[in-house]
Amino acid sequence: MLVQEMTTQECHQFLKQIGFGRLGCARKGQPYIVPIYFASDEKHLYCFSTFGQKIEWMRENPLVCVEADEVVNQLHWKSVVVLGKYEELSDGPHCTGLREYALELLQRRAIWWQPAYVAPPPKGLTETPQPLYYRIHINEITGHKAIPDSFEELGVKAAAQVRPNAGRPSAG
Amino acid sequence: MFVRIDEAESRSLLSTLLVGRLGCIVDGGPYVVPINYYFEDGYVYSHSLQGLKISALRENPRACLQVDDVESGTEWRSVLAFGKYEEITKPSERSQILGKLLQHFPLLTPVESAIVEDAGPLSVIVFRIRIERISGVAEE
Repeated sequence: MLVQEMTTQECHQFLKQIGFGRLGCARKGQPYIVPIYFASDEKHLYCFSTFGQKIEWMRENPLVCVEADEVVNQLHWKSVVVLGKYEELSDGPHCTGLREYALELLQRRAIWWQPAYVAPPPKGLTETPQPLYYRIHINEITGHKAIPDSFEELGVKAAAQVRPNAGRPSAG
Repeated sequence: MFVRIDEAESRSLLSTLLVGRLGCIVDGGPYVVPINYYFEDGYVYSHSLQGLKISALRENPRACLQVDDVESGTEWRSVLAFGKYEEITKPSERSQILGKLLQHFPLLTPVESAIVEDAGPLSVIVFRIRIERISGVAEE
């Protein structure tokens, strides 16, 4: 397996293509992760959410991390990590342009519509969902990709053809 | 519609999946990386080379692991487990855990396979996270 660093351009391209990742927040020394959909340009990731725990936590500590990956198998994957800062696109008039821009970017994605505020509140959750736009300013972006070398590629194909657990050591 | 996933079902999802996202704290902010793991007797087991997540977890052992099963934008389950990072240093335990990791991940590279043979040089970190809290949300 060859693990290579991805160029910044490759990382941005990957984020645009995948539009899905895991958002990490931190509160009082405790990490917290939730899956998110986003749309991105070279400087920010734009997201849509309802008010909830993650928003509360990001308001308290705006340092966030977004990890996006595509795993074909253990030898063949890509993973991009963004370290950034949470910025809320508030309802006020000074954010109107940005919210429109976010909406435009998000609408290009097939999946974005899932507006949680249209759905009934989650069972057992007490807060009334409020629609909210935010963006993550990209401070740092890094990525790695793993490609199987030719020998492993042959092994993976052979294992897939013969039996799913080929290569597993014998129990004894 | 969103529904809460109870603890038993959350544990069950954690035990059926093999890739998760590990969260830790670096310089007061979160840091998230994908990991291969297996879940057994209340512990998530994994291994890693020395790097940022290991030094961060040594400094602050509070970790979380998020796993999900996403069918579509409207059909998914996501589970979040919280726990404490513990490093396994006893050679016999390391060897046993690395063996199990190899069973779960038969594609581990020859280098990693060789490591199992001699219980592993110390540069490969074997660790576990004791799951203290776990819960999930699903949309269906």
